Amino acid sequence: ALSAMSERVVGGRKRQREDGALRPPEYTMGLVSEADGSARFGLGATVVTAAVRGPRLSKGSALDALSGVSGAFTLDVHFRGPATMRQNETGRWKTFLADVLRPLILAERYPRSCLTLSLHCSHDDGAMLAAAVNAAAAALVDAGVELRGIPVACQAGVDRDRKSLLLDPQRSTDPTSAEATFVFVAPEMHPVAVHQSGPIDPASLPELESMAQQACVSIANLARHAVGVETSA
Amino acid sequence: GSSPERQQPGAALPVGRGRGTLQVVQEGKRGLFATCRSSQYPTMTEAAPLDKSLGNRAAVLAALFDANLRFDGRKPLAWRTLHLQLQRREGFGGAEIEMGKTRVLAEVSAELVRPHPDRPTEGLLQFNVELSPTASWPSATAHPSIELTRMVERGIRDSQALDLEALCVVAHERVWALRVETTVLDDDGNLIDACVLACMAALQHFRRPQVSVDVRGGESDGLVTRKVTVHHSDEKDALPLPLHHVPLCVTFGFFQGPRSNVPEVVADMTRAEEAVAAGRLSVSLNTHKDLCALRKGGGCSVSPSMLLMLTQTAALRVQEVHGWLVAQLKSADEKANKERQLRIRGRDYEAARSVPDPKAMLNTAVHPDSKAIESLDYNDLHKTYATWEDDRAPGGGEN
Repeated sequence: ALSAMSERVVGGRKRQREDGALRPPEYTMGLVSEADGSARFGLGATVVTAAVRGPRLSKGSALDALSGVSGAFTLDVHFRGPATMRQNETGRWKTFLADVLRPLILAERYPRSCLTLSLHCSHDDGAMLAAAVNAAAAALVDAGVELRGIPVACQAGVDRDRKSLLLDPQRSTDPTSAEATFVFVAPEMHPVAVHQSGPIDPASLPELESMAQQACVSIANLARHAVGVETSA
Repeated sequence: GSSPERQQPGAALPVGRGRGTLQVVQEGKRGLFATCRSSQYPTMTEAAPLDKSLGNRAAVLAALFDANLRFDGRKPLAWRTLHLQLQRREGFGGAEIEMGKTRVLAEVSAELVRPHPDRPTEGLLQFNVELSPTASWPSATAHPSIELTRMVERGIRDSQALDLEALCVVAHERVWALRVETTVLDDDGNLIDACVLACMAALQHFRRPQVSVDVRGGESDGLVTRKVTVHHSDEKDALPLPLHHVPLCVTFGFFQGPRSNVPEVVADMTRAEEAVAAGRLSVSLNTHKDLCALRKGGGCSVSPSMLLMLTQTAALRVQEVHGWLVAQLKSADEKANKERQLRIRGRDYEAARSVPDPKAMLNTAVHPDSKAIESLDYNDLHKTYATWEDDRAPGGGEN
């Protein structure tokens, strides 16, 4: 006899918070004893651990992409996502993280050095790239690397069904048609980078950005407390 | 777990029967710096970090054989303190173990798949242990550790700790495939014990969703339709995994001393000690004292009587750790259930509020007036009120 199989998942969870509400962020510093600096950033179920090694002497003359000078400062980013993530996706995110963090590091203080940043995301429930940026920033500060400012990131998206704008969409409860991760630099909150996936109406981008900026102010305040940084602003 | 005895920096221990001293100089972020001066071992005149110094070997051995102490101040058969964090989400269970500075994270996830053709009624259990880029140095990319994966598989899967037949949903069609991903976030030695403990904690904390199978049609039609429905944990309680027993691993290290052929045994080695050890023994046992797996590596020889003695020591340690693990799992389970109840109750309350039906309001778990009732104390509840008789009396009764 032939047999047919079908599966479906019944029941689900709806978003428990408002459209413009952020999940409570959490910082843990100094987890990895072997690293020079480490931090963990959690946004609900999304948790990313970052560890920094260096700056240490780099052997040979590696050509730096930004300045084109050999033997200059290099930043190596290694990212490992959850088991379900494919290799080509991690490659894209590694490039984004390097592009965001490299200009913020005061490379003039570290000639002929290399810095290795390793990230591990154990669980992705939305906003993984934002969590990665926040964890990396905190790990760099923990390692004592001099920065021009602390990058803070947040994700905002467009709800698939209602077409409304959501702050910090969760993978388990908020199906989105498009998402954008915004990176700002504390304390002035200048927007420095955007990573977008999915079609977004250009008219709604400013609103998404201001929503993310407000959330980033809270994250930046928490980050300042967590890393124990006294800023001039 | 038992707490190690800490040696304060600056203290000097006599070693080698007065022929030298071992002094703990400074505890820095990268480890212990120590100097050891002894006529029997090569002299170290400079403090150097443990990982990079060749004199490290001499210092570790001198501490062990002359002072009967280890570099972090523990006795030879003392274990580091354990910490456990458990997480539970829909279709996912996680456990993070901290064993001193060693940090291991294990995550369990499940999905419905087709079974193996030669084992059509058994579920699947896959293990993968990776060294995260945060832990492994100098290779900064994550790489799976074959040795650790094999040890975890032998201890847990090959000892049949999990009842795989209970994971079958529809024979020959659908079974649960459990995937246990273990990541070593920080490596300070004794990874095997930490990985096995993290995996077992995650497997015990994990809850798999309930499924219902709806069968339509019969053999006579020629077409049998089966509909498998996976219920969200908020709709139907998720179930714990069917475990026969709980295997845990204990690893010992052997150090060859200058005086006798019998090696010195230590438990729960740090990374510095592992680099110097002459041999290693990993014993996997459950609480019924059944030996699940045993692995002896390294060149030093161990007598059968010592092997037996170590297995018995390991059995005692497994009992101790299991008791601690059960307590941690119980409190984490209570917390997860409480969160789930709040979430469900919240939804029902929201639904009741939107429907202005008095009967529906009565059926909800949270009565709108329950807060008012809770805040009344005994005196309020048993307050006396003035009656018409009191009013007639001069002064009146209390109001």
